[in-house]
Amino acid sequence: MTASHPAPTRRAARRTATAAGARLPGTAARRSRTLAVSATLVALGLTSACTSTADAGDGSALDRLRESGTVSVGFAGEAPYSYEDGGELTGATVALHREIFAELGIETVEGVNTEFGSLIPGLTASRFDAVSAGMSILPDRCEQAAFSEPEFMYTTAFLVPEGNPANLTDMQSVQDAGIRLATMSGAVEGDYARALGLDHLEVGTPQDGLDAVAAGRAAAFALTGISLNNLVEGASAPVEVTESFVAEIDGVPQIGAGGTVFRTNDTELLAAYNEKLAEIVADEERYLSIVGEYGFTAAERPVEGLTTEALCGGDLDALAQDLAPELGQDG
Amino acid sequence: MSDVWSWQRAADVLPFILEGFKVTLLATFVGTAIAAVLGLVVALARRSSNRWLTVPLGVAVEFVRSTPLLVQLVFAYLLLTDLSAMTIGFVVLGVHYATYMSEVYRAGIDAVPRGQWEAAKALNLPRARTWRAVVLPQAVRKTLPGLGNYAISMFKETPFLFAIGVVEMFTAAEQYGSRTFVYTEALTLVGILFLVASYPTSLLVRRLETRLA
Repeated sequence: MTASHPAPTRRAARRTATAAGARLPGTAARRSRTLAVSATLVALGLTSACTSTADAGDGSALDRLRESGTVSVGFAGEAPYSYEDGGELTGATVALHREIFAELGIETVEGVNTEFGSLIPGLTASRFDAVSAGMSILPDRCEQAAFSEPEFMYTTAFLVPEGNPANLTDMQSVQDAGIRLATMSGAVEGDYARALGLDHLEVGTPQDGLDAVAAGRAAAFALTGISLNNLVEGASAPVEVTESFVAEIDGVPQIGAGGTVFRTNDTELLAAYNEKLAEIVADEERYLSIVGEYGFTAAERPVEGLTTEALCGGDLDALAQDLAPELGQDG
Repeated sequence: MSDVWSWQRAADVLPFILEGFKVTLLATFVGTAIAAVLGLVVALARRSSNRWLTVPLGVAVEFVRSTPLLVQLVFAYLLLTDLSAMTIGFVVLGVHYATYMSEVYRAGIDAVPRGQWEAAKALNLPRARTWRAVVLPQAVRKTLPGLGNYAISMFKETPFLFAIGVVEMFTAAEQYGSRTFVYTEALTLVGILFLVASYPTSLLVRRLETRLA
């Protein structure tokens, strides 16, 4: 329960403010000063309320969640990771959370639906306890937030008009074809497009990407294969999804993985979560029994040796060489 | 996330936001130009005695004024696939505010004293000359502050362009934030830039108001 904490402080501040206002009768000038004082008191109350929740993070978040039996997670409605189906919170990351948090003694997983761009600000502002959106673990982001160990590996695919007229197979083929590529704002494919200097267009949601391709605003829409397959399943537009591939930039395979995001000071919660996550990831059968129904396969299960620390380090070249045996590639 | 504000991060994000600021300014200038010209045309056309012109025009103006800008942007974006998102954004902003500005012009024209019209008639000035030399110079003086306020208002509504994928200042900040999780500095800078640009402009408009009215 994130909300329960700041409320008493804020209410108290307001009560004091009203009491102060009631005691000071008189002229307009005095009344306006009273108003200013009340406003300041309320503001102070809010500030201290925010600070106290942020402070509560250090180690005690796990205890707090266990006590209330409920964890709230922010999600952006992205199938098949975390979305609402008939008002019911569901998806692969949600299924993982339900399993892991239950083992930690937290029975209920509640979802807070928000826009992708508001996930991290919402987490920082204690509107929820974790972000359940399979967010890519990227070096820049690691400085700002605490990622769990990898939960899924990402492969990229293209959504293209039926028949794949530009014959796209990987990022290089987009570069060669000189076409315009749509990517989703905040998704890692946008970084690839920037790194390769592609003509690209950023859209807000997967649906916008599909619309962009269907309307001819972009020749292709790049996103993770899992998301795209899920997207076209229900779509009637004449589009198709190419084979998934590991994007390469300057010959370096862009090994990508996503995880859950926690507040940086909720270290105990993160450690407990990682411990349970490791047990699931290590056991392929169990992993697939949890996320398999959402379209995830053994190919998405993080290979052994792939760590958040290495992904945050950002040396993809070294990572690719270390993991080459697990990935079934040669050096 | 651990510390609230970092000047280093602010410096990193600033170039992206300034890039978006250019688009914000361009949208405001192009939008205002369209709105000011189209608004005047609409205001004049609505004074016509031809009901076949004034009634449909009145309906169109009411329609645009009574539907949200955001809905209009997305509607035009999905409908007019041949035009670039930026063109659509500028035109929709311009048309939306043209309907507001047409009302400002109308009020300005109505405020020109009846005697001025009568004097023009008495002098046997042609209709076009009456408008050009007598009515409009007086009307426009009265409308300038109103137009200025709508231009400022349009400037502050440019973030709606995010809905159609135009990377103005706010969208630039959001995109940078999504990529790096640095939101505080990005959004704060956007707020400051909006304030820095709109507050002096509003002071200027207020000055115009006292000097011209």
